Amino acid sequence: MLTLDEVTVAYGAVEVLHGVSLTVASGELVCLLGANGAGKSTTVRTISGLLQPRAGRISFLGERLDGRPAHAVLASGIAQCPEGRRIFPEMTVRENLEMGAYVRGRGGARAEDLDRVFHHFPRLAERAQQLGGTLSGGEQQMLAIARALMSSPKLLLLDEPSLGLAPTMVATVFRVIEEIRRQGVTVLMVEQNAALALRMADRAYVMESGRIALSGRAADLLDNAEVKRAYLGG
Amino acid sequence: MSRRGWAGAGIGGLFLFLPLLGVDDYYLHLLIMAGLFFLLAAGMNLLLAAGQLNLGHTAFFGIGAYASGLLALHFGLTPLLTMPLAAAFTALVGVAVGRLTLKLRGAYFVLVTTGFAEVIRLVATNWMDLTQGPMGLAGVPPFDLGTARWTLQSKRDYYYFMALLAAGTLYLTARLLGSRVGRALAAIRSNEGLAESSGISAYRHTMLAMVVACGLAGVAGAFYAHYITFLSPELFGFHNTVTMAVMVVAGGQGVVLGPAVGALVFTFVPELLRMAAFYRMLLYGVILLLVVMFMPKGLVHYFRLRAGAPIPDAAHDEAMAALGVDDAGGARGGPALAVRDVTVRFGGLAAVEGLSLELGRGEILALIGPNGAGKSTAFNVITGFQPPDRGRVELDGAPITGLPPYRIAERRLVRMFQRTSVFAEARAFDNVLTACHRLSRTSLGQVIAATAAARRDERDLAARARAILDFVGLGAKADVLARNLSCGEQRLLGLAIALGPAPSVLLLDEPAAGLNAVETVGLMRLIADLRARGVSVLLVEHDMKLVMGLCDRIVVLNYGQKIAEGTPAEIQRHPEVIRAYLGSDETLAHA
Repeated sequence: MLTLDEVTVAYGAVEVLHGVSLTVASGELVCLLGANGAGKSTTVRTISGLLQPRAGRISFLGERLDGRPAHAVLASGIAQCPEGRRIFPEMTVRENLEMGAYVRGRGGARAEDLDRVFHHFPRLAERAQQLGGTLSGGEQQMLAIARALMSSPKLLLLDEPSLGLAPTMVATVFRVIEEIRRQGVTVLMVEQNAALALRMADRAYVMESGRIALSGRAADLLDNAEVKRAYLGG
Repeated sequence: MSRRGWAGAGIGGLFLFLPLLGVDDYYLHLLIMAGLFFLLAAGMNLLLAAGQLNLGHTAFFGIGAYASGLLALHFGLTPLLTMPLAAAFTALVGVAVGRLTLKLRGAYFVLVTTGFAEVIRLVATNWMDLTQGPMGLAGVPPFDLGTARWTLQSKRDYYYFMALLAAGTLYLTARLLGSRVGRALAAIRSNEGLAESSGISAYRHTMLAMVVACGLAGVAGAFYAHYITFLSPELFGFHNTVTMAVMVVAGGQGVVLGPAVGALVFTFVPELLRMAAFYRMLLYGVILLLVVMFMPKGLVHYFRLRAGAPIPDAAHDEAMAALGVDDAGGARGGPALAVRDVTVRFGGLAAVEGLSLELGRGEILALIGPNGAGKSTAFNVITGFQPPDRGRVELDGAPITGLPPYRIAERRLVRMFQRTSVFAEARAFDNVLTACHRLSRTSLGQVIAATAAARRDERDLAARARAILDFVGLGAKADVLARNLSCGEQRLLGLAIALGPAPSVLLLDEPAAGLNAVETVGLMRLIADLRARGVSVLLVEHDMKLVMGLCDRIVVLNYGQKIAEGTPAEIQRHPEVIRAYLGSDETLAHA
């Protein structure tokens, strides 16, 4: 479904991704692990068109993706939920969600989409008229994911969905992610909570200093001594 | 001497000898006007360094001109006296205007200062008795050096006088922008909340910039009055301010040389375009547009005339030792920090209700609870960002409720913010150096005079900043712009910034967010190390491995109220905490 082939990305003169190749098949939940600064977020931002690769190619459903601006990538069916709860703080929860469906133009299936995300996140339904900026951190994270879902993406990019969430809230968010992929959405996820992410994912890639260092079935990586030492802390 | 030094000396020498090279009076006049506008643009640049665009700056120019001209006309004072008097008067007006307007930000400040200039223009036009209104004030005496015998007459005389003033302005702004003052101004522009919590008063520093800018405008005005010897309310015209703003922005804002380059280029370009006669203003507009489009940071940035301060190599042992708390007020006994019965309401909703907690000296205390329980609000109250509706906060037994954040930082209570909070456009090293602001021991006078003490002070602060970066493990990234660091590295930089002001009490808001399990263990070591150095730590965190493994005690909040307090072992068994926050044992194990 999604293929990255030898993708190289640089910030100015500094190259941060050195030929990254990975694939995500339809219906999969693939997880991207690695230390801070390894290039996980850069990879996700390159897929979503926020950064442009210096070399290599990205294709999605047979079409070439690199070189397209972010809004065109979104229109092709890839939605990104960026790290750090980026929402529109001066808009209400409902308006934030409607922004998520913006790409689909007038009409669309907004009412059903709203019902669906409110079903996933009842807390957001309660707060539909509240300004995004007045939500607590966990609620903002839920809103960010919900907004990404509003465009009915085929592929959802999640950058650290558990960041800054209370333990019970982490469980809720991950339950929602499982439900989302049960409904047929493919997910590529960056997550620091490696243990939890590997338990849920089908496959995973481990990144080190801008390269893919290791990849395989999530279950195998959970048992991998190297992964245990470097990312699971035990 | 460095290459930059030689280049500077060469250009300075060129300006010195220009009149002797047979440059005619017309060009000397243009150079004098460029110098005049440099004085004005340099002042505007100082305020803009803190993010404040003063679109009424020409009002201060005019006030200085009229003040000096009127004093000389009516009291027969020598311009040698009226110039400093006019500068002082203008600076005073600047203080008055600053007191009223500097609390405003962005567009509001721009509008109010624009309005101020318009008001002053109307006063100058209509106060006939004083200014002779639109007819203008004629017969202002030329500049003399105390006696009529030494009167500046030729263009060359005024050229050298202006060269002196411009060199002084260049020196003054270079000292200000190149020292902790400049760092503070840039910090206020970049992230005011973070600057305040690092012990930098936004109000005081913008006021300093305002006073210096207005003083310079006063000098420029006085020079103009005795050079042109005729004054009219035209001086207050908006077009003057626009010219200054163009020079600053197209020259390079926030940079010492920006206004100088801008003033030279944008004095000469319109003159050189005279040959295009009819199309002059059109061409001028196009050139301006091209500069802004292709060199958005200004000409100076484009030619790379700016370099960052050198970063010291390795950390000094002394600087490393200075991370610890030497005089934590331990003699006084009692808790390091006490929150007593604090309530905060937003509308009808209580975000924090009757919260009391004590942080012992050298203790690590965690504040946990569901998202939205009021933890960040509690942090905001403690650090002065949110006044409580009821209750008080005490640091080392002394009340700090109601103090502004920078005062609280000066008392060595410093926070790290929840959202990644750094000075994005500065290098990691400069981020930490900025945060060391309050430890500077030299006065403003010493900074401007660049005394040995001031230079030593700068070296000590740089060594300290370097040591802190090494301490948090970002030593290798010292020269990387903060915005290019990864999320987790920015968190660590946030911690390094919080260590800058040498806190005795440290508040950490979700320090482990964005770190993986192994990195979290590294962070736990850092925090334990800080405690060993005498720092007391209050932290909010959702990573239970960190909370349970590191903290001495835990306070649990839910819906703004304390529902439990105790050791990690007690909290893990607490049924209400499990229900409201921890969830089933399985969730805890996974988290």
